Amino acid sequence: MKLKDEEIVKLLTAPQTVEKGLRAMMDIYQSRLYWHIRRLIVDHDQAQDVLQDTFIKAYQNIHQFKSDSKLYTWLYRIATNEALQQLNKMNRMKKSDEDAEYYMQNLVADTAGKDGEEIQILLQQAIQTLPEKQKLVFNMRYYDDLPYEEISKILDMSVGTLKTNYHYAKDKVEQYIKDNYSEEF
Amino acid sequence: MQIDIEKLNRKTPYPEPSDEFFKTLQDQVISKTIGEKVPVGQKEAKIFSLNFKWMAAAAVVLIAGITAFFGLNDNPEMQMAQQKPIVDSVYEIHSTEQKPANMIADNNSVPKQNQPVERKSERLNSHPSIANLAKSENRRNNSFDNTDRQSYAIETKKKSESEVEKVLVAFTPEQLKDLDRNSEQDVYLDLYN
Repeated sequence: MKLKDEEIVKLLTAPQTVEKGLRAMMDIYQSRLYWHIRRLIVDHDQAQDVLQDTFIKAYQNIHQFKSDSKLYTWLYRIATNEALQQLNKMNRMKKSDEDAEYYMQNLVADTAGKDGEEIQILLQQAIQTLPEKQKLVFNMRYYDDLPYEEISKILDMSVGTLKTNYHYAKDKVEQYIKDNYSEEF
Repeated sequence: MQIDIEKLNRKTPYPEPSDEFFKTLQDQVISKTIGEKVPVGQKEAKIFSLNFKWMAAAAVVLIAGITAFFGLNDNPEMQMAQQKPIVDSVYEIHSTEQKPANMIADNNSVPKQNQPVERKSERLNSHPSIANLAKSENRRNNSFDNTDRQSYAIETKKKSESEVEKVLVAFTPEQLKDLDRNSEQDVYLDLYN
């Protein structure tokens, strides 16, 4: 039985039920958050570290959570921040933005499973060419199917800006696939 | 070629993580959050820190110990009391034991003048008559108990010195000058011994 956000928060704030609350929160959101982080970072091990840090920070700052917003919105926000921090660390090790982009595209190809279709790999590689904001908006809208209002709360951006960003991102992705796809689609 | 990504199956090309992955992740998060709050080692430390009786007793003992230690060591009178017998014993023996040496003891009130005389007297031990006196003293020394050896050695040294002084009185100034010349050589050698 899935607990509601209010119940999870209540469990997390009571010392006797902290573990139960943490496990309930992770059971519900771990998979969605993992994929959100994984699509941004690509590497599985680093995604694992970031997801772990996300839950730890959520636990440490649960008293700052305001009940007027949804728990998963708050968790997405933490996860996004943690993932972006990790990405910045990775990019700092590269000489230029082109190097970082090239590295991420190669990483997509290397980490893709054997069953991964070429079009899916190309789509992920195309996402890696997007600017940071467009990448976030595109992932949340396209893969997580989050409404613009929720994305707006997570990224502190207006709905109009989000729609524009998504439109530009989609065009770029499609163009990238068109340029690089070898088979008849 | 027309491409519409909205028509694509929204899957990622990456393999799904195993169920064990999330289980392990949950355990790690629990251990790093709740586990950190009550580690095994800290329990004992808490018990110790809350035992105020032991802390108070330890503090009192520590303060008393420090006060006693520094109080005794810093007392100049105590230090002087400990040092006095060692320093003054030399002069006490001079002044009390030998009446003829009182004349010389009077000269001891001026240490700068006295020092050369004492040195000379030490060097005079090499003289045959003085050596005999020292030998007789040595024989007497052998009969004493070892426990008082240290204090007795100081005593006998002073006695022999006072006897040497007696002999010195008998010498003429010319004889003393001769002895002085010889003794200067010894002093020079002593510096490098």
